[in-house]
Amino acid sequence: MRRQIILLLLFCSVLIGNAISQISEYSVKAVYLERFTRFMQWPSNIALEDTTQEFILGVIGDNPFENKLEEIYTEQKIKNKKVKLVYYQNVSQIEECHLLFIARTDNDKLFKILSYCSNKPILTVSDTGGFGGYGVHINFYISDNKVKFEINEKALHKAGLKCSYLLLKSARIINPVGGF
Amino acid sequence: MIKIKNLSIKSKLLGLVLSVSFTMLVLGFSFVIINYVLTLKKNMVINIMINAKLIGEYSVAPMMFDQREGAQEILEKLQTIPSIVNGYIFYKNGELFASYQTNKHITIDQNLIREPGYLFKNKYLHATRQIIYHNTNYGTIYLVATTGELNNTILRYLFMMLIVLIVLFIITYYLALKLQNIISQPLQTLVETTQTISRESDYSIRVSKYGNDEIGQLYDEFNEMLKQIQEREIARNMAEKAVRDSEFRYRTLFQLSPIPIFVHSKDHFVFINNAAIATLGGQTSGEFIGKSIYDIILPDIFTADELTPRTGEKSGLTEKKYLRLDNQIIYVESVESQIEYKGAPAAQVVFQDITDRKKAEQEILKLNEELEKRVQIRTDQLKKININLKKEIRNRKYVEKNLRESEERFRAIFESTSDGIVVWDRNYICLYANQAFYKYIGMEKKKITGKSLDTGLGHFIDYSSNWRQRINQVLNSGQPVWAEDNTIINNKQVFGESILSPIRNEDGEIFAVGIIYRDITERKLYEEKIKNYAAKLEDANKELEAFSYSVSHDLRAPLRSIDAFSKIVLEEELPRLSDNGKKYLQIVRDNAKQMDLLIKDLLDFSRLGRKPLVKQSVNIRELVEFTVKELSTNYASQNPAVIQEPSLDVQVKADASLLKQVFVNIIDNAFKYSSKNPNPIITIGTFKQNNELVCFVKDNGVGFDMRYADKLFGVFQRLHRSDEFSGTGVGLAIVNRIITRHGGKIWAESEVNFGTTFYFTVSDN
Repeated sequence: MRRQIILLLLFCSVLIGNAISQISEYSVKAVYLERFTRFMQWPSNIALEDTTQEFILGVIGDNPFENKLEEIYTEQKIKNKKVKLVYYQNVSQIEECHLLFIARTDNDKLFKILSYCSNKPILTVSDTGGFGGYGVHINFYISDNKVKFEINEKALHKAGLKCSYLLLKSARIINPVGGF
Repeated sequence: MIKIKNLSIKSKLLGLVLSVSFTMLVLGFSFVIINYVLTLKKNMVINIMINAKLIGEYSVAPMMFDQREGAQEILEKLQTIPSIVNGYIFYKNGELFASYQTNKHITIDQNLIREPGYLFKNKYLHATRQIIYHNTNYGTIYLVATTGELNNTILRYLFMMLIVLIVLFIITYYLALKLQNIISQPLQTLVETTQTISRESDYSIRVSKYGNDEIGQLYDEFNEMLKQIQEREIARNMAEKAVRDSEFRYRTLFQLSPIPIFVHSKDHFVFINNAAIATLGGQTSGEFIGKSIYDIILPDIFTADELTPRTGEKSGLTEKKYLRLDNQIIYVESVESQIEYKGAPAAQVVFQDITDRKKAEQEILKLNEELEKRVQIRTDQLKKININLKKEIRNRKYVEKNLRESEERFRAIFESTSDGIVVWDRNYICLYANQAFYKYIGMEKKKITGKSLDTGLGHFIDYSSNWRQRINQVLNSGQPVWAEDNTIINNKQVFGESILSPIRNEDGEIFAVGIIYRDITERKLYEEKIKNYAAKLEDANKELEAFSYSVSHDLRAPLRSIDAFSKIVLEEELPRLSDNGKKYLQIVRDNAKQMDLLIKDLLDFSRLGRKPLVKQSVNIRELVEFTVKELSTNYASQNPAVIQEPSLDVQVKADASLLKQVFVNIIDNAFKYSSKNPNPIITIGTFKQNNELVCFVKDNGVGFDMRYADKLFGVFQRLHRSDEFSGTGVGLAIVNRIITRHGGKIWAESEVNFGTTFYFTVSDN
């Protein structure tokens, strides 16, 4: 019950677009994770249509969300599926997952993760400056005291994920596909 | 609606076509225009909805990721669509997310945000649409577009349509104007023809038809009708002329006829007469209408009743004797027919004046005598000639034969007349006597021809002596003598009337005297009878007067005693009288008074017949005023309203005291019989009817049943009980007698409970 109220408050604050200072930056980011999926289309061999299977949301590295992800995704479904949260510490631990949040880490570790994910239909999201340029699909950044994001269109393309132009229009584009 | 009814058919047709066309055009155009406007609006809504959808989709991501700038940017792209003036994006909860405004005065309709749709408000179209992405509702897009362009388009379209409508209407008007002639022209022609016919009464006009439709049939029927009217007109004119001619012929015949003809009422008043009746009556004026026929001729006293039209249809030829006003006796043959004249039963009488014929008969007798005398002379001469001129015997025989025949003829005439004829010569020798004479003197078997007056009529001494004297008179004077005789023949008294005329020969010498004798015994006897009747009448009158005197004094005196003593008893013995006693005594008094009144009225009534009329000029108004004033005092308690009409102011010729008695009786009746009406009104006036002055007295009293109207004017005839209304039953009999003696009529009209009106006529000059 309490969780529901918090969730509601969170939702409202995000929708109203209040300053991040009041509501935790990671609360916004946690909500945005689901929203990105609304504009994303996974390849057809990933049976996302089968609603009996869970949507696997993974976090690698030190979890910056504290318990916010649990608070949100116990109720919130992604792509109409129940969400299974998985936390990884090493690349070797990564299994099949649909969305992977890459926490702040060093570049070596990042490349290992990205190399693992390359050619797999895993949507990668990070919040570290420069990660977008390295090949993470969506990277959060803070501008005007607001949470914004950049999309590496080329990397998305490579991963076989299709992104709606509506999302692209709301983001800062890195490595645009048409740009080459 | 009346005006439309009166319009000409031409206008009606025109109006009909125009109104139908106009209605259809307006309805059609309205449909097209409304459809056009609806289509325009629908298109505009579709357009704005497409825009809303596009913008909504673009707004999904900015809404999700809280990018107001992005949304703003998208909204500002609306600038490329000039008709869209404002745009808003609302969150699902109704909060404004982003807006684009070029017109800040437009207010947002909150209902549209809650329930998406569209709305034309003022000059703007408000349209909202939910922002849906992947089946998820993110909020509402709200667009406002100006309808200025739409309205301009509609106005242009309306203007164009109006012009088309006017052009179509003008074309329709001209077409209708031209085409309505097909129907209205024949009708117009018919109307004009009808007017011409009614103005000039010329039924020979015909209309020529245009076609075989209903109007064509109407034309045929109209022509047929005209033909029939024309035929009828001709027939009627002919019939009218025939009637006029016939009427004129009859009138001329009637007026100019030397035969007296007149029509009179049951009571002998002349309705119409011709001039010949004046001639018959020996009067200069021919106007008798309204007068009694006794103003023209008086009937023979013993045949008076015969003038009354009898119940039969037509009387046979009757010979009558009348006395003219100048005392001349006239004889007529009359034929009477019962006819109806102006609704009243009347008798038409045709007289044939046979007075001249009667005279002529006498003339013929005279002439015959003269002829006989000549025959005699001729015979004498012939005798001489016979002696002297035997040669001429054949001639003489021939003449003699002729004369004999002639004489025989005359003799035959003489023998057949009813008057006795006898001729005496200067020596009183009888030359001739006819059968009638023999019969008259009662000597049928004897012959007195050739005998002298003394020997021939020896046993009629009176005759012979008187006649000798008269014959002498004629012989000496040469003038005819008229004489009457009274003698006893065969033990019967016989009155005779004889006319003695001199008979002269060719030289003018009197050689004989002819006597025509007529038996007037019967007439004499009648005269005697009349004298006897007159004497008896005189005696009866005297007795009546004596009776009247006795009634007035001897009968009334005891009555007054009864009344007077009853009064004394009532006054002086009052305390000793019982209530019934008083009542009975009062009844005794009332009845004594009533009887006294009755006797007085009877005396008046009987005196009326004998008292001569003293006619003078009388003013009816004065008479009535005086009478009403006099009577009003008796009926003061009822306070009756008496209306004296201005028509009362006329002069009449009448016996003033008797006429007053008439008014007293009738007005008193009116007062009396209206006494039970709470508001009695009595109206008195006069009017003219058939050249007669009619006086009337009208009341609103009890009235009477008209079935008993004929009993009204009889003596002792009462229609009401005397305990109801007092009276003797003599008053109206007196009135009737007075009016009749004045040559007038009296009658009454009444209805039970509604009043009575009395009318009587009185001569007004």
